[in-house]
Amino acid sequence: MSEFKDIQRLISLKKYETPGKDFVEDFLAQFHERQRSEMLRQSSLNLVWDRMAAYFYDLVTPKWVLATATASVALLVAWISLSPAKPAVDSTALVLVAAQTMPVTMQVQPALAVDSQLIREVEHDRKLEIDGILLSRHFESDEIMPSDSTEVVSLSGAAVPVSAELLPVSAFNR
Amino acid sequence: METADEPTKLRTSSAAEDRVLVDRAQDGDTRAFDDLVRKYTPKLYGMVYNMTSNREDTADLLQEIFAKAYRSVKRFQGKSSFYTWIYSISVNMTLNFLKKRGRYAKVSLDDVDSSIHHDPEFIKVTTSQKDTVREVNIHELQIRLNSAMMHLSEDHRTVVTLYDIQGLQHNEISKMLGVSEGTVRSRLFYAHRLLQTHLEDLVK
Repeated sequence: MSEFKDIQRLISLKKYETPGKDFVEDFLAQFHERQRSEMLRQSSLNLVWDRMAAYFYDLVTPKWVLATATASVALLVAWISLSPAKPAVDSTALVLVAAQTMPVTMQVQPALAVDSQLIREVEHDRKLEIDGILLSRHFESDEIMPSDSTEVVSLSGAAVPVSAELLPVSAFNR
Repeated sequence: METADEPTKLRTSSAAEDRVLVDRAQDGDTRAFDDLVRKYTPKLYGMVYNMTSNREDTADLLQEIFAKAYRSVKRFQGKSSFYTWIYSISVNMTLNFLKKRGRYAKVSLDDVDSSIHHDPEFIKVTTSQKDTVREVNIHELQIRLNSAMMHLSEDHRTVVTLYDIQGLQHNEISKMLGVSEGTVRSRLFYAHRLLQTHLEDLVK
């Protein structure tokens, strides 16, 4: 038996404390009222939330679209304006370039990076070769075939006769 | 002090009735929940009142407790009895309320049921006897008991309320509070010792 049994019995007298016999039904009525208020409050809160969500949706969406479109246009304009200009290349040069094997250094470069200097040199060399062929035909007979060597061509591009010695007239009558 | 056969049978049949009401409440039957409110309001009121010693706070808190129980009843899985479940909710919410309220709160006393006059202990305390310090009336006794309870911490007041006033067993209290039975017993021992220092003159 507990040494505090007297104290426990004394404290147990508190079980006779009561709120009154009508308390339970009054309490239940208040509980129902509270439930109704809470349901109404939740409904109005949901309504407010839905309206706010719709308002902000209409407010925010056009701005985002506008901002995205503006940014895209700005990026496009910047890209166009900042990209380097392509040089004018005629069709003959393009054919010569295509006929010749492109050096490795040019192959790895981006498509838009046109090495105009190299093309010009190639063009110049071909032009000189053609001039040399035409000139050699002028100073030589038809039997003499133009050679591929560039010996007849001077680097300066000026036409140089194959020989300064005049050929006999009989050579021209064949 | 441990459970006898008769109270056990009563508790078992009560648990079965609760199960039926809870199932109906979970299906949306509000009248079934009303029946649960009617059944448990007196007991829970007593528990909360003895913790707070304020009838207005008790009524407000009880509304909160049943509102929470109503919102949570669909999640009640029946692992414990509805009785244990709702008591646990009540204890936790009351303790949280007391922590927010603070130590010094106004005491407002309930009425006392007239059947107290037939209680032997009450008669013993209020009847003049040669070894009693003095007589006390009901009102004074009520004030003294409430004042002594308010000197206990919330944890000690809880176990005294559940064990001495509500008549629950150690194992039931341990489940409700989520502590071991040993903890319940040690808290009770300390609480009784403290109460004795405040109420000694009434029991001599």
